[in-house]
Amino acid sequence: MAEAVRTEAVLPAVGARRRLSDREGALAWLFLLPSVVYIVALVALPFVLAIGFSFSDVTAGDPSFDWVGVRNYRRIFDDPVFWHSLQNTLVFTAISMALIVVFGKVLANILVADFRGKWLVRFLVLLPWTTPVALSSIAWLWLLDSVYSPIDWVLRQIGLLQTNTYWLGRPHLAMASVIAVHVWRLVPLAAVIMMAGLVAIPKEVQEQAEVDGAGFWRRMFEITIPLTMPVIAVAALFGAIFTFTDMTVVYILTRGGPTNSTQVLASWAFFRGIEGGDVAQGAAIALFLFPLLLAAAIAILRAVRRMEVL
Amino acid sequence: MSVVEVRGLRKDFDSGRVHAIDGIDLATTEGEYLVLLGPSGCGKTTLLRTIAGLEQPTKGDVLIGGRIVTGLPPRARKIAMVFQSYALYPHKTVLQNIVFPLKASGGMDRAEREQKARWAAGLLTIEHLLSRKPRQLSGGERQRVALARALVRDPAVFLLDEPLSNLDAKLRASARDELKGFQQRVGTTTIYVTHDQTEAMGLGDRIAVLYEGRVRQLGEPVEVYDHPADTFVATFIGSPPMNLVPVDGRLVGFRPEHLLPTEDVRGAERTTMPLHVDRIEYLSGDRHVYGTVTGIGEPTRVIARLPATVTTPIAAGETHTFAVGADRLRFFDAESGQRSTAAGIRLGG
Repeated sequence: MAEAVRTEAVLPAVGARRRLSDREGALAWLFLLPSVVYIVALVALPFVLAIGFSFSDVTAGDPSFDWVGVRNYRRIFDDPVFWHSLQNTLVFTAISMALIVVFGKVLANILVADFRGKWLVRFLVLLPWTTPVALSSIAWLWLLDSVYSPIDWVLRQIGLLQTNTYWLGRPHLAMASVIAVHVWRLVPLAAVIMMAGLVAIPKEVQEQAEVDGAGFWRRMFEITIPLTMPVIAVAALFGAIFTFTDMTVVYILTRGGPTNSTQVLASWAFFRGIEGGDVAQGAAIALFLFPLLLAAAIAILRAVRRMEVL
Repeated sequence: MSVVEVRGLRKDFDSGRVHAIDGIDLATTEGEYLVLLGPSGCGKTTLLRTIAGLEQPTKGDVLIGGRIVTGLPPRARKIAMVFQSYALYPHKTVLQNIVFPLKASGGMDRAEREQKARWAAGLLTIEHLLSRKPRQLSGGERQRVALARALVRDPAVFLLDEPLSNLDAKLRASARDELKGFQQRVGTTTIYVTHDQTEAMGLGDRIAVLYEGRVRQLGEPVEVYDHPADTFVATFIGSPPMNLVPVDGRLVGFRPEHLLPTEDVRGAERTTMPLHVDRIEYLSGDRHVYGTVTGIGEPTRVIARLPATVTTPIAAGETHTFAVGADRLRFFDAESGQRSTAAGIRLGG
């Protein structure tokens, strides 16, 4: 009893007032608020607006909202450029993703190896990822120039080429160039993600496989790849999302040309909605990015959950 | 012909600054259970990994089945290894884990492989676990899966790296018993690394005590315990460790269980000494008596372990006369720590 009385007497001196830092409910709201505002203002609102616009006749010159039903959708479905853009987007994404995973995996294997000057190689490898897309795309524009391309110059010097290549002037070469730039800038990210996965495999498991008699390829395909599959999936999906939604590379390198052969959904929506002024149609085109992005997001979350289970 | 032999083995790390293995010659005999025992950092795991081919020696050779395998990769050595963590493949079922070494070495069709895996699983009584994933297994079950996986390849030698240290104390005793029984059934030469002297004494046909990259003593458990080659072995093995009393530039050693109250030491030849008792512990039936002995050399703190059968009353704070049978005394050089003889020593008692 005496004990209890003494405790009570001591308590007020310690500080009986509930401060803000004790009220976790209020604090939670306070700390979450900035990100909630950010998401609502910059993601949710534009998304709702885009859906609204796609059913309207809003243009840059006449921003008044009039409901027109599915007219915009009917118009873009009738437009062969839209279908071509959709096809290009899927082709670019699929090919880039495959190449990003393969090269990223190779690069990750090199990066985890122990060798002299490792930090320098890691630094150089990461550079393409840290460079702003617009700047690196301009650099590529120069590298692929129809007259002054240093790539052509080198090929001419070693005798592999007689004339200029016109990298960005022929439909298939232009597509390949766009894919190459995407792969070049996204491989470092994929490599770093996959490197984290490789490092997480216990050394003893690798050594056990070695003792069990497995050679390099068997270890790669039966141990390393299955164990890093969730991480590889995350890297692949990141690559896919970045390629899928990107318009900078296309915009700077080819402006969708020649004759729309490198046009993608994002660039076509931009040309239609912003440069062409038909905001409603631009919104309708851009909305076609949504279902695929949603699927990718779900796939990423699933992969991450599988990683936690393992 | 010995199954595994190392000749003049050296392994340096950090470009020669650390000598993990500092000149070891060792050979196993057919079917023997050889334990490499030592404190952490003594080089025992490095030695095992060098035999496995996971490390390349700086100098010297590794021979397996009489053939020099230095420089060959692990897969060319006909060895099987069980790691401390068991290193089961987490994404494969138990059956796939056990089959993996057979698949990797090739030369067997699917049905043969599975039959072999089931045979190994049967030997370790884990047939009912074959379709499970490693994360669904208990520690003891994981150990058995790892052993089954080691067994299927018919290796020339099993290399076991502290396979019991991940198990809880209760399981460890039964797993040790199982491990020994398993090795006796299959009769494969086994090299077993541990820092636990109980495991070493219990499992080993012979024990190699390692310290600072060298073999300090190689012998049967009884020999290593009763006739330690130097003061390191004397104090590393035995719990509590051997008492060492400095006498005339020599060290006189005797095990705690041989230091008993005079009335409990039989035989005419004995050395008596007064022991000032300052503490007594009662541990699983034995009394551990801590105190200082005087009269035979420099006053030294020692421990006496009195079995339950010794009922002589001893109390803390008193001085009681203790004795050690003359045949129980061991002698070491105080400088080098090496075993020496009794010649020229006069014990005060």
